[in-house]
Amino acid sequence: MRLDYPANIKIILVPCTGKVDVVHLLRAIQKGADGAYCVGCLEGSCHYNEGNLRCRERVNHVRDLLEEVGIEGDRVRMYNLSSGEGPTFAQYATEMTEHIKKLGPNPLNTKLKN
Amino acid sequence: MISPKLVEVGRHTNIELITCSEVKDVEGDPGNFAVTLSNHPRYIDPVKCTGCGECARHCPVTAVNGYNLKLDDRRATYIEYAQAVPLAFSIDTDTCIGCGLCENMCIAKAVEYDDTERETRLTVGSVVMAAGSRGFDPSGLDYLGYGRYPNVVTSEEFERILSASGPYFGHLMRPLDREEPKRIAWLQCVGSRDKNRCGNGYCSSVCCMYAVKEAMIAKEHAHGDLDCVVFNMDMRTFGKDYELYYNRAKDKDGVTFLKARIHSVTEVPDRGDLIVKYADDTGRMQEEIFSMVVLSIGLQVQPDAAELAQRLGIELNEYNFVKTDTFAPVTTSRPGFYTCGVLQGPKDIPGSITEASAAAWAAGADLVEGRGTDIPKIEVPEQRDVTQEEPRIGVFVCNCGINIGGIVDVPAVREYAATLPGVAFSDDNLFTCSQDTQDKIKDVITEHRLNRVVVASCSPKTHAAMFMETLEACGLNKYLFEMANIRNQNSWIHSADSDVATQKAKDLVRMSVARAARLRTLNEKVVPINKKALVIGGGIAGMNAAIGLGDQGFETVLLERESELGGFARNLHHTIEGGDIQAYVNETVDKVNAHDKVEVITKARITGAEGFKGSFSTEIEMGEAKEKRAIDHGVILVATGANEYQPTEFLYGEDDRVVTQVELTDRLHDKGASDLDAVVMIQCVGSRNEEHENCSRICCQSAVKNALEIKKQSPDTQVFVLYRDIRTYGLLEDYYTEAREKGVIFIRFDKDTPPRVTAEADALRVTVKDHILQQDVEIRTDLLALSAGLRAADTDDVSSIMKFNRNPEGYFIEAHVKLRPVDMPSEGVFLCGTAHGPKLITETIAQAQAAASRATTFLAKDAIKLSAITAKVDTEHCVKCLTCVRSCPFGVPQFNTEKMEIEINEALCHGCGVCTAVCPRQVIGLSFYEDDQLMCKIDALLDAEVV
Amino acid sequence: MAEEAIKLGGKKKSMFIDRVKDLVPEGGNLNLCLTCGACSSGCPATGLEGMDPRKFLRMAALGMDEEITSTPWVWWCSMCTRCMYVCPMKINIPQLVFYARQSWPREERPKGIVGSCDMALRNDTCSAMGATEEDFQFVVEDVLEEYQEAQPEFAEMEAPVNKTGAEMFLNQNSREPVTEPDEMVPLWKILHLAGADWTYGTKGWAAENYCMFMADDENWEKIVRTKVKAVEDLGCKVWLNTE
Repeated sequence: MRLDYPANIKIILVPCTGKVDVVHLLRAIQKGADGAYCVGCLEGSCHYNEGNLRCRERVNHVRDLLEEVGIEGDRVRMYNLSSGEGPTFAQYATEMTEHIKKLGPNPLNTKLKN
Repeated sequence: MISPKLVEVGRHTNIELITCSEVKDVEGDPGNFAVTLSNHPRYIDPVKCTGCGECARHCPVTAVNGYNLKLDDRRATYIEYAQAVPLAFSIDTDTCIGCGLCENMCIAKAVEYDDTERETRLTVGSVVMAAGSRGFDPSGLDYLGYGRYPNVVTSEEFERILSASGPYFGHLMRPLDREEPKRIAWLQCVGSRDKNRCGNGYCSSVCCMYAVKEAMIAKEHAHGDLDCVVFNMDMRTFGKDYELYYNRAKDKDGVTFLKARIHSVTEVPDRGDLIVKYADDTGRMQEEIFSMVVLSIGLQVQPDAAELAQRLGIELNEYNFVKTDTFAPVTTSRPGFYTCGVLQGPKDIPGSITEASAAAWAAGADLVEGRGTDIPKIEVPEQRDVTQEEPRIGVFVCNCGINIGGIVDVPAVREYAATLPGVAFSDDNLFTCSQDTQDKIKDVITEHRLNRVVVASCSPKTHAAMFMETLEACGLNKYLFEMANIRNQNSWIHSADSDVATQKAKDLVRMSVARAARLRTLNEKVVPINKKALVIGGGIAGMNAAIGLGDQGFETVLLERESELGGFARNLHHTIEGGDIQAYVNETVDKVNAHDKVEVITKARITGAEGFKGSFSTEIEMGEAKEKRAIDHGVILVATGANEYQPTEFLYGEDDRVVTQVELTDRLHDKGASDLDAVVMIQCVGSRNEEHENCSRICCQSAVKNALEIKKQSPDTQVFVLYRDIRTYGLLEDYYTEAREKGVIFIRFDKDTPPRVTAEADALRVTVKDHILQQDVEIRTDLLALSAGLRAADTDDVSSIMKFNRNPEGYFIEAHVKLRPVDMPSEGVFLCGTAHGPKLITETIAQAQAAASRATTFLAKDAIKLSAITAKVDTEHCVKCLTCVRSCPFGVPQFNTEKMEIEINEALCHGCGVCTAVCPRQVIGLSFYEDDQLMCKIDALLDAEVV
Repeated sequence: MAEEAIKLGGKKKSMFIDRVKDLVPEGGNLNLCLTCGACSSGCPATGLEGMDPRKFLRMAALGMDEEITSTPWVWWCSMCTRCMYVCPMKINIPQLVFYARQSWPREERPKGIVGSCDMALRNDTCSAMGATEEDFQFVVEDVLEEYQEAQPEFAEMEAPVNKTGAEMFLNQNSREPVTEPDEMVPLWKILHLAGADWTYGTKGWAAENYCMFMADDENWEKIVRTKVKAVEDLGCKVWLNTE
């Protein structure tokens, strides 16, 4: 399937979103990513039972942590879809990009540059 | 769901895949068949074709897309669907205009317009017929409006409509105006259970469940409220846990189920909406308007499949399904020929997969002596030790014909790669996956002493395994490999902007190079396999599994808790088809006892267990003396069975005129039915209720079986069956029809208004409301038979000692409900018979053979290589908080109380990485996905961007 | 519900439905009902007299003989066989209705139907409305002439009566010649444009057979024989009955 989505999305492969750690997401934001999101299996159909649910918890935790230090928590999100849903993947990529554009650049970047 | 299976078949070294071909003839005898094939031309050489799709992109011809059931178009040069195996295009010459564009575009030179029909020959030892079925074509049922009204679709078409890869990209739309439907009706039993309009008297077994599923998914896809109504005669959700899904649809998700068959569908002129009229249970006419009507079409053997079977001398039944015996469910009438799936009879995916394994068992059992003689052997050179070397990374950038090269500036990416830290070599190739490029990569690895490889091309899902083999073939550890997907994630997505795509390709390559530098040599642990099997349970399932394994040449120990073999089947007399169960059980007991490979241990009790796939050790106590013994074995087959529920309802146990179906069978066997004026049966006793939500699957046929037996012995005895849904699925429907024909009266009741039973001196009185007359009927009866459901055998000991998970109803849980119905979640452990869930004897035998088959794939190897992608604990820094123990979805991390440390058995670890992320001290690492191996990708991406 | 419960059970007794099964080919599949309701959902008489085909069959199956042989619903049935057309078990409900009608004493059957049957038996036209041979021939010729004049494109149209050796013998429901003569014309036009070789007959021309609806086997047969004789007397090969 050849579907368009913004080029600013770069994918890092993990065996399961349950492998994604808080530090991975924080590192991305710390290093200047404007946003980071995890894409896992649909809830209830995790290949490893419930890795995606754990990931969602961690994403929520990271969002809280970011808010605490004055960065919009909503720069980090969790999406779910099944492997057959290419168009949905593209839709989420676009949605996330639009959403991050509205939030503007990562404040850490602005600070780093100034 | 099916993609991994397709890939596995495509890559399996013991499977030769021949597509676009038909079997013309098979001559010879078991062990030595000569097969004549006609190979149809595909006009594109599947060996040369890389599946890039340039041919189809340039093909000027539009053709109807059969894969999406004519709901959209494809090109004349096409591939059926994106995951097809082999991933090779072909030309549909019915529509091709021979313009030559595809030939010109194909850089791989795979197009051959002069390809012709050929005939080839094969020699094989056994044959498995799995020609499947096709959905019933409802065009002939003029009253349903299919083909006349665009918004009347078949369930197969609706599946395509819901599919993300379907004609509407998964958007819920109706064909006429591409509007989202507000109300959808499913009409069940179209082409099934119909002796009048189509002659398919059987039940297709799957339509009720798929209708529920389609309604649920449609609701998920809908943007607003979507009303779903399923018009049915009986809801047949009899599979394992299917009832829970049905109940959820009904009670939580608001899908409406109406007991009514629709006479005819008409269209609201100009709007495309459809008018459905039906008589409700009170006989009142109701009229409803739907945006769409979905016809739940049944399964039907394709005429050409039936013709093939007949040509090969395979006996078929009246519906063209392959005829098999109750006690030999996959064996056809021709020796050496086996069958599975819907060609044998209507069935669902788990049933088909189970039979497929059973057929593989049967096909293989005939050829045991020749095992391993006719398969390719792969020699792997000794591995080079690179652990002390600095990274020397080779980067291979793929043009993928023009798939990548047409958009991304590949030479620029190659040059950029050369500048990255650790890169010792970079190159680009037309097709990196081609055989000649593999040879080239091997040469380069050796010549430049490369110790890491990055391929920038397509998806690791489809290609990583092949490149990793290339590394192994020249002595490089296969885990020193990394892929950057610059096609699917880049050139295909950003085809409109070359600069953007080229920049992103560089980013992705930089990230991959960073990771490659941090990859470590990983060695797959080799575990020798103990070629002995342990079968737990000596009923029909366990005995067949043991015989199955013995016939495959493996030593097998069969454990039975009781003092004699046979299990619950000892209580049964005959199958609905008339098979003599006692004779079968006795014959099977004799066979298992006489088998030189099988050791039978009765009065056995499991007292201890340890080990993992290939190397288990089980302690038992046996005999009256409780003699202790340890058994070492490589696999476990669980066949602990189930029993009939002992009811507490309807005066059972209080009045001896109330019996269970099993007791009724005994009674009919001993005393006959001539003294009975009337018999009443009540269905779903102890099933489909609050305590036991699932359907017991077999009780409807038990009732029909006994009703027929009564009518046979005493035609004037009246039989009344009080039911909720009659679930005589598949070919069992014929017996339900026969029972009605013989005058058995079926009365439906609601779960909330069960029958009332009172005992009087001369008779029992059963009162129930007739579902059609909406009036109470009061039946005086001599006997009340309760269709008591099944209950899993007491397996608390086996479950806790061997750590096998059970569902709340006590049935063991399989690895995957649909795709792995015989495997348990722990590898090397298999499941069969009623220990898995209620099922018929014939299904039990198929599953036992399937379990033997699955175990054989294991035992046939001398050793297994474990995946190196497993979690490892740094025990020195571990604080033993046990978070990993609690978090692992498979219960792998264990606290060793002797060593006082956490142990993660790599033979059991699935490699999901959940434990690594929950560990508060971060002392668990998942090899191949170590934190530094992920973090470096983030850094490589973002450091450069900030700069 | 105040209604008394239906009493079932005990030894099987002789039932109406069993007697009908013996009379109908393959027993009319009368036992095979799945109670799906397809019949009732397509029956024009569903709901009339509180009855519908499924309910009727169900009562028969439960041995409620008195109810099914006394319900006036059977006289609402038009014998259209829509029920049987879609019934998954091809149950011959119309035959069950037919025999239920037959169980009625002649004098209690609906007067209109009985009268129509009696009328048809009176003369060889078989007309339930009592139209005579002369009346029919006059009306046909009169209407034909009118249309030949008024519509020049049909000046050549024919409506033969008693044409010996015609290919088809066409029946005509009495209602048209008696009350709506113009309604005969569209079919004539079609036959004319199709170039059909057809004829009416003065004997046995009436298409309807109320004796059949009345379940009067003897007179039903008598009417049919009269018509067959008329067809054979004119030497026609095809008997076209539009009813």
